[in-house]
Amino acid sequence: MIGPDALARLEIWLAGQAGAACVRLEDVQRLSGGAISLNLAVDLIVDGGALAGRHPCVLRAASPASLSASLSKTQEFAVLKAAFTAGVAAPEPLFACDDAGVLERPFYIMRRAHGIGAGRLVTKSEAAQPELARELGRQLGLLHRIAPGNPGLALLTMPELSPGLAAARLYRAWLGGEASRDPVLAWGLRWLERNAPPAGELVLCHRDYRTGNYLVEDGRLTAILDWEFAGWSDPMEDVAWFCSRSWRFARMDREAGGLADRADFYAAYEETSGRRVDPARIAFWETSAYLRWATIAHMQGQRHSSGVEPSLELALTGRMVPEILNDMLIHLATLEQGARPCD
Amino acid sequence: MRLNPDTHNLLATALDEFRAQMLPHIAPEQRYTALMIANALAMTQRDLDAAASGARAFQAAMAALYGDSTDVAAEQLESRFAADIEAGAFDAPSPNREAAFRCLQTLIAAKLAITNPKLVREERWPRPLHNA
Repeated sequence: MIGPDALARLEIWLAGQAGAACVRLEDVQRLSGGAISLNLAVDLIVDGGALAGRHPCVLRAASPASLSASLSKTQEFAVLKAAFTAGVAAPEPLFACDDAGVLERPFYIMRRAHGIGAGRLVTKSEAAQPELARELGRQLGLLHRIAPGNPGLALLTMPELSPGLAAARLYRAWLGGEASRDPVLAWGLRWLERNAPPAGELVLCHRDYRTGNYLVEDGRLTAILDWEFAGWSDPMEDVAWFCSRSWRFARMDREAGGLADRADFYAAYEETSGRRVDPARIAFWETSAYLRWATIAHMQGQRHSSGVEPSLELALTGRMVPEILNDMLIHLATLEQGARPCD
Repeated sequence: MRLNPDTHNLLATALDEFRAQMLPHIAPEQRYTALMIANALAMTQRDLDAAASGARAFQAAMAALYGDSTDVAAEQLESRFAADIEAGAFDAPSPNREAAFRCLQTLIAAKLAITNPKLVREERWPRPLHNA
């Protein structure tokens, strides 16, 4: 995790950042869910300065094998700050460091939120959870009020193409030659390229806004996590991702993240963002959601198969591709009955 | 090569022993890994059972597009089909496009029979296009 030398360097660096006489780290534990980033739970014991006291925190450090779509830790920190400032229930970001002299890789520290995150547990409820779905709609509406020009986010790149075409191109690049060998991937990518909506409004998208990436305590939302894929995109990308079949866990019938009906989520989103949910764009971005997740799962499997990072968990993620593409075919079969989404 | 017991039998025996003798005694912090191991072994077992029949179903479905394809390896058919899709051969609404979509469904159902047969049992795999 963190060796004694690195720990000492980190404590000195933190004392400087916090304007404290001294900072100590206690209860350092590895957190699960760090397939891409290294996540450690740490308690900061701050002696002196404005932050004096004990602070349960999370330290997130870059993984040696980051996905190319992941933000750098400095960018992720800036996104978290912008979201937190906009009133989104993101964990409060405290310190960021891109000096490799401290932990040998960039990292940042944020406050630790409490609650359960595992999708199967969050969705395992006899009754639907419309309040939670509405709260998540409100939160996404708040996030989508952040637009290019936000002074803290100048370091995020702007898409050169329409976000839909940029997504298709990105998945092709990630897949390498795989799209030419797998007819279902080929079909999906072709569909995206032929149905991409024209460029429209751009907002700050989370790009992994879904059940499994937020924490709930006593049925109430406590924090939205995993901001490493955030970027400027079509707001409907996040809305569709949240509702896709991939993230409903125990309740496939509850289309808003396995919690409730889409209507609950959509209504709160529309009210907060001041923007209507666009069904044609949702249909497009839902197809994109399956391809994005299938592509990421394929790459995770490749990280194992190529020998870069042998891991049973990565191997089994690679084997999820047919299940994800099955969901895509179910979605496309429904669309094929009606008009094309962007006609 | 003939071996006794054969690979299928050996794997099934190992998996049964693991589930019956080991799983109940595994500490909670190792349970996730243990379940992943059981899942991977079960998937490998289904791979041995179902790969050949799944490939045959896919080859049979592809006859609608390419004529009799039973003597073409499934991987080769997949590549040819993917290349034709990329070239736009099935873009226009037509019976050919519907047939192609049904081939995709057959292919995914064959793969799901190995990776997640529960979904096939629950009939969460796609229906033929004209009934969907």
